[in-house]
Amino acid sequence: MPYHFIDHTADVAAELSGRTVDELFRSAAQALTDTVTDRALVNRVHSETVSLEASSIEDLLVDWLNELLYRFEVQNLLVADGEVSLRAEGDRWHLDAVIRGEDFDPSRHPSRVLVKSATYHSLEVVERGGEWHARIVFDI
Amino acid sequence: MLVDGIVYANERMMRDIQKDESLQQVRNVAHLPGIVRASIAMPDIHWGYGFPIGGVAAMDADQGVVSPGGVGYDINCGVRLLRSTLTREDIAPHLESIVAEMYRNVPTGVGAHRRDLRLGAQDLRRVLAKGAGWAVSQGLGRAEDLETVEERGCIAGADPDLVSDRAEERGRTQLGTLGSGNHFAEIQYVAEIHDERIADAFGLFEDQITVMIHSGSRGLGHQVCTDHLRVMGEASRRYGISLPDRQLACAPITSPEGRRYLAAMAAAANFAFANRQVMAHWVRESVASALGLAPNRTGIATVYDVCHNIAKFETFTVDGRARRLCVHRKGATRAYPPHHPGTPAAYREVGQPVLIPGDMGRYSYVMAGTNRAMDETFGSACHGAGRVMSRGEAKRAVKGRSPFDEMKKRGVHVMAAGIATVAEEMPEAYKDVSDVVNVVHGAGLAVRVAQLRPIGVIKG
Repeated sequence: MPYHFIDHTADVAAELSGRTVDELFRSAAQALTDTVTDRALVNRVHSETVSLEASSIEDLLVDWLNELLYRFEVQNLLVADGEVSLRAEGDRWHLDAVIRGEDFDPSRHPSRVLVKSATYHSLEVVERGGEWHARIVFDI
Repeated sequence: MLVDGIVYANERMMRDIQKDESLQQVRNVAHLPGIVRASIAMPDIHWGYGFPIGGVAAMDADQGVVSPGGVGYDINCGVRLLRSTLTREDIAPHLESIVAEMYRNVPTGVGAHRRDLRLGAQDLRRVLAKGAGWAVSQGLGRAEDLETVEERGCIAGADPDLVSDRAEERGRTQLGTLGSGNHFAEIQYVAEIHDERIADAFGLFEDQITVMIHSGSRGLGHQVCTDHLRVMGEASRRYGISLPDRQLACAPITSPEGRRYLAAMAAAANFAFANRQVMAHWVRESVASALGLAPNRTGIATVYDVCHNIAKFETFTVDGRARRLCVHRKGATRAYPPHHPGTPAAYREVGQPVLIPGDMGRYSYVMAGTNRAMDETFGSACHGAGRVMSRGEAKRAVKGRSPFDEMKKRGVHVMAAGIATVAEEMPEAYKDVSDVVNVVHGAGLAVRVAQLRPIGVIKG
């Protein structure tokens, strides 16, 4: 399972995993969409690119999720899936991605809960036993 | 720790509080430079980002730090209470229509916005500068509403230029929207009066219909917090501030980073005041329309409007002298006493109303601020109930049940954007707010005035 939600009293917490760090970031995007609506009902109608960089992998993960959140709130875009490519250059991490999804349609997409922000709370990105793992908390 | 940590709670609550990281967070906050007297926690404390939720930390205005984590992502999340001249009996036959009108007029939940309130860039800047006053100037409310709103619905020192483009883009379509999660607009009736004199001054009487709105600064405020947390993270390192937890990221209040955050935070707070003002106006119109009355025949007026996520400059007597402090309240409510200049003229004799929302099945409370709060907690009290079940647990507990029908049987008509939200927000997912209120009352920080019970709710 690329992601599953774990109990957190006030907010939404997700455990993410991926064979590569690219897959981990893909799982993160999926978990965010699944928090806001039912990701299975989001079609891959149009695609966009995302390019980001940050000084740490944790910062990059938070920035990635907050970028997707911003595009949802401002462009109404729900992300069904994406291809993510990360690379480290010197002391910076770079992300390039193609995200695929469609506009939120209240007649087809159930309203789950709005996310205020991806946070650093309990944030952990680690490689363990040949797999990448992260825990992320979304402020609700 | 530079100062003590002080927690207001009863013994049973302390056993629960000790089960998570809350007390460690109270301790961590006590390390922040410039903190005055104590790191304080209210009985509704639970763990949050860096600062616990239900926390109060007052910093010296010259030597202390300011931290976005001490305010929260939802800047000026808060509560407005409206009173009316209507009674339960008056509206009973029309309750479902009232809730339906509210649901139609106040956008809630994922993707919601009202088409007739799209702000251009200049309008948004005016909202950020003027707060609730902007809404009144647009005919979305009355001038007298502002008399009984904390800071008259506008925090001084707001600088719209310091709100990022991204925050503005998020805010532009969200003014007048409720949000989701634990936000709500609720029709209530006054079930019990605990203090006749104060209730009378607040304009409250038994069986009176009231409306409570819980919402904040929406995506605009959340983005301001996100933006400044990043800046503060780097600033903490640069200013050599050693932090027990990176989420306590902060900067000296007098530094450029500190000043910029405070000015952007004030702007976001003003957005939230305007937000609650606009929604209150639409609620007034909705109730009137459902009853076939002109809005001014409902007697709907603002009892008060409080922030419970904010940082403000206030003056307190510390060790015998007056000191200007930057008070962080995250999940805590200002509770000014009688005769304080910040208490509205209409309530000068009785103290500032303190609005404490509970869950959607049981009750909420109105309290009044006291001198004891000024002496002990920098004029602060609790803010709400706090959850006892995670969202996941609540959804599992409700599986196979019909939450809307169950609420109906309890006498509460609920309309919501999604069944998931209602499941997550069921009363059993929350602590009993009367326990929190009783501790605050028992400690003398605020006085219990009235209990309000829900009969209709809209949620996102």
